Amino acid sequence: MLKTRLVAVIILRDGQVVQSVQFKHTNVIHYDAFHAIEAFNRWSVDEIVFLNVSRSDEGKKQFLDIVNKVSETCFVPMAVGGWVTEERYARDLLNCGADKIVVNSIVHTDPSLVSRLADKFGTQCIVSSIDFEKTEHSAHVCIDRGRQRITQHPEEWARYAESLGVGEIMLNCIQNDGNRKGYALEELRAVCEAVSIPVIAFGGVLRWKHLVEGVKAGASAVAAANIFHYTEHSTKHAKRFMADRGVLVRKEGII
Amino acid sequence: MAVKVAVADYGCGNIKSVVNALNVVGAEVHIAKDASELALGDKIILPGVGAFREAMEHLHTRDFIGSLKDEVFDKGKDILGICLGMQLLCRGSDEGGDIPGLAWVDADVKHFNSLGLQGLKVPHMGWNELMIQRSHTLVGGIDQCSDVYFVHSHAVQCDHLDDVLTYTDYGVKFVSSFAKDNIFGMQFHPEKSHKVGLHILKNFVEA
Repeated sequence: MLKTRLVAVIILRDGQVVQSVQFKHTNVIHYDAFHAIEAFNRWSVDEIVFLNVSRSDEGKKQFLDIVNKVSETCFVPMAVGGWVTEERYARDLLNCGADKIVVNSIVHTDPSLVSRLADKFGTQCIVSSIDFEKTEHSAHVCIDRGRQRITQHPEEWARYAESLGVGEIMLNCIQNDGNRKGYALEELRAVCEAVSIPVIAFGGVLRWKHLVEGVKAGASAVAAANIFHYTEHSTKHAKRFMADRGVLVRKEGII
Repeated sequence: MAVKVAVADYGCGNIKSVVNALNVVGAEVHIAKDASELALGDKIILPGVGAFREAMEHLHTRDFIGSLKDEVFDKGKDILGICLGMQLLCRGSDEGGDIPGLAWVDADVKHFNSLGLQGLKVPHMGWNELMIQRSHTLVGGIDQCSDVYFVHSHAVQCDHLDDVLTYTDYGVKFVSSFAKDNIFGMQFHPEKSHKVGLHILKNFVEA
């Protein structure tokens, strides 16, 4: 049967791997993207998500070069994104070896582009990354790397993205990002129930039990960023923990 | 001498991952943007992502079909169809109406929902197991139930059990790879299936 995927997220700013805490990226992790990819490859992570948070045109261009280079040694699926606002850039990323394109703000600002990308490159190729902020009684989706709040609920937004043709949702709660308390389970559960496409849970993992909680909430894949960078063989330990608790994971890469 | 592999670049999806993986397993890769360049390979890979209809149209309009037939049937070269490329080798797909394929293997391609899949997410995306049905060079050294990476919404069903190399179970059992003479197909992505996938690609290259 299909395994639950363990996904490592690598966030890049100006070519350097950074930590993200509530969408602020102050802490540079002291190794580059190539070493990160190499380690995750060696540890048999199931998939890699590679996000560029540099806003400059120069940063976007540099990101292309990095994707092009790391894809040469990345033999698991690689989803990449960050400021994908035109078809040409998406195509460039794919030509550089990306397997999937992660979109975010354009679901709001240019929904027809999302559909066009799904038509051109296939539904399975487009991942809709949804960031949201919890409020006292509700939750609202944010775009532009958390800078702009829009009125919709995450599950409503996930359904909308699905209707535009995306093949997967990646859900991240801004308050939980880097807070080490685990995923925002209530919203995760609601989104998983709202759509018929796979959902990747992201944001807030410190303990391996958080990954299992994400699976129980309905996620098809569980992701983390910061925590995987700090310990040797981290993803292998994570898989062992998941397997011991009855989660079906890929056999390779279990310690 | 490195084995030469021609990768058909007929305008359906990016081929960089396949090329990267072939480089790692020691093949000499020739990207065939033009059908005539298929002749440069000792073996041929037919990759493909996206829609069945569009892919068949591309093969027709770029004149790949005649050249592929020459290489595979007249010269007897091995061909490996990956993902959509495997499906194109079948009789046809129910994707977007009933579209005829190359029909080199007696098999049909159907959407998971019309195969009776219920309650599971489509596309079938992620790592799943190979149930190896027989010994064959392609799966030499591969453990039973090895995990490989899939991403697809349509699945292959073969007429003849003899053609089936591996099954995979996603609520329904479908053909995840077939081998008929020198014609091979893999629904999963060996180029994205880490060590197991590279091993299988190496088997194909060195067979």
